[in-house]
Amino acid sequence: MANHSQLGFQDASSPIMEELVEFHDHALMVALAICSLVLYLLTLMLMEKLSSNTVDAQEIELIWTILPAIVLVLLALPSLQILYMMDEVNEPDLTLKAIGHQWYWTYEYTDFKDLSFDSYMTPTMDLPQGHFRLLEVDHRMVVPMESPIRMIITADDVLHSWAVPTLGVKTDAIPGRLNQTSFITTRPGVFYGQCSEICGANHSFMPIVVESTPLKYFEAWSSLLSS
Amino acid sequence: MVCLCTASGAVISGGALGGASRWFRRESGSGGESHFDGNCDAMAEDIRTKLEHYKTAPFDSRFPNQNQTRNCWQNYLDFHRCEKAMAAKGADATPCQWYYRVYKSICPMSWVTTWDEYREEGTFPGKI
Repeated sequence: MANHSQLGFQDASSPIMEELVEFHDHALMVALAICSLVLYLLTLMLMEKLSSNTVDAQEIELIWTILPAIVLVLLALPSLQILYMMDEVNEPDLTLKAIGHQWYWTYEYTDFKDLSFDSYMTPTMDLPQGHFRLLEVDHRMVVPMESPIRMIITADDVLHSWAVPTLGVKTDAIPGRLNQTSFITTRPGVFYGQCSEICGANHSFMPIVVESTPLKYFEAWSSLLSS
Repeated sequence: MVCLCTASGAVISGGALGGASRWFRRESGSGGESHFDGNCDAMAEDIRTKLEHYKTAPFDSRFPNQNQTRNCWQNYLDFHRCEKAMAAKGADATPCQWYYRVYKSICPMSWVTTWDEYREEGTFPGKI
């Protein structure tokens, strides 16, 4: 989950998010380099250290054409690499459905049995000591760790959006449409997210909690719920 | 393309089991004999094996993008068409279970319930 006044990304819990964080750091360095150069040139200009009697500036024209082109390539290549990585065909182990309602999520696990449950936010007055306000839910979405998961996201009434920042997932939940996304959790843990499309009075109060556990605990949990 | 043998020996081919996008059509002129008979038992075994090892709906190249609505709809239709066709021929409907498993995995339960009700009422918008 995010800490208060947190500026940066949460630690990545999926391979795609790791790549996105790396790319962000790279892009930020490029942006910092450009800003530094501009600031430097601006300072020189203000101190009247730059020559202003140039008529034919072939060399500098060449430099400030080639250099930006190189910068753009440096940005585009990793960006496209990640874009294509996100679209890779991965045969999932499990298909889960998340259905947005006003104002809770329903999770369905129907590969074998018809397992379905609602996930409501835990009201603050019922929150146990030490738990996270406005983030905890009564029933978490449990997934086996290190397994490719296919998520099918839809909604029952209005637009919602299913987002879990640490997994690098945000997908709109649209009534009448099934949106597919996928992720792999690299480690066990509890991952939080919040509804990311305005959906009425309690839009801020329908969080998402994904619990990633080893396969045997997942199987035990799903057997318990199916019985 | 998948061949499915009926009790009468005529061959019904097609289906999405191999990723093809045709639904069932009869091979013309197959009559009471077919040179696919030898393959049919092997195919039926393949389907059973696939069903036994079913984990979840596999990648379907007909629906490669984010929007999987049509995938759900198509498999729901294919299952009911398969059941109807097999019942009409008096054949084993076990291979149809593939479509059932796939639509069960992908389609929200509420959608399936609604469509089942429409079918019972006779107001289902799809052609089965």
